[in-house]
Amino acid sequence: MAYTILVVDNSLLARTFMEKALRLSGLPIGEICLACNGREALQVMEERWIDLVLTAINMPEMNGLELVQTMRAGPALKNLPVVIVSSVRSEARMRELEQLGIKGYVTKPFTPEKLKQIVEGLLPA
Amino acid sequence: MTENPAIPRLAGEDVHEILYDVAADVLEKFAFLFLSPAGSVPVPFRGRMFLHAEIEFSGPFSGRLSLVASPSFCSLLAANVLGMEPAELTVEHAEDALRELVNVICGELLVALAGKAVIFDLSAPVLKRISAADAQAVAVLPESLAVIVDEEPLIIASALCLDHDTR
Repeated sequence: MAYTILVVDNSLLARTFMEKALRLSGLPIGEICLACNGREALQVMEERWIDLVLTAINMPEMNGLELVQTMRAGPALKNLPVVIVSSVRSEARMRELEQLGIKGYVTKPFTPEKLKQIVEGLLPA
Repeated sequence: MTENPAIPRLAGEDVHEILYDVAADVLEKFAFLFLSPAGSVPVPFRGRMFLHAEIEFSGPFSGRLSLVASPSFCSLLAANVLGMEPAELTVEHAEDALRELVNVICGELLVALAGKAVIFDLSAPVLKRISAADAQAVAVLPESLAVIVDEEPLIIASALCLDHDTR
């Protein structure tokens, strides 16, 4: 089974890097969809089946936390796994995110192996 | 007044030392690039235009971190991060690379200064183009640290407001 992943970041470099890291991770990844902010991500999720969302926090228009809050508010995307990609390595912030139902948190810089460790356990069986 | 343990008691030289170590570690892990101190040698500012990326943070203490680098350094950085040739990349990739670098160095610097138990909010990094004269002016500020990466100058400037929220 190949998984469809949605990568959300306003940085072209970050989106390209995450796409490459996913491809190099060895995970069974099929399509990788890209979005520049939370609003675009919601549009993609309306149109496509997504297995996991990999998102930055700081983005214009709709940031990563607003995206997760919007997803959690409706029944369709409530249980979709989300991994936050951030440069902030704060345990207190991770605990805050756990309360939003976010189980995956990866800090930059990261390797494809590190990303695999985080993503693997969150993909649906 | 109770002393806030998250606020570092540091002199300027200590911050520079920590900043150097953090930048060296991040550049190596992020882009497989290695830096060396510019030392007393004047930093070579070749070219007419430089890129300046700045990020602000707030939390137990606040401040900002800036990077100044040449477009060719930014292209090299983007190429190394993505494992691609500079010719395959766009100006947007190169500019994003400096934004990402200031973002990641800032995140690591805050952990080095205050630990992982506190929360800082980081702004979105802002990028602007500046002249060589303006780049030179940033390089000589007391809060600036000049390093050389692959024969290109990289200026790292930090400004910490350590008296913020000390209650």
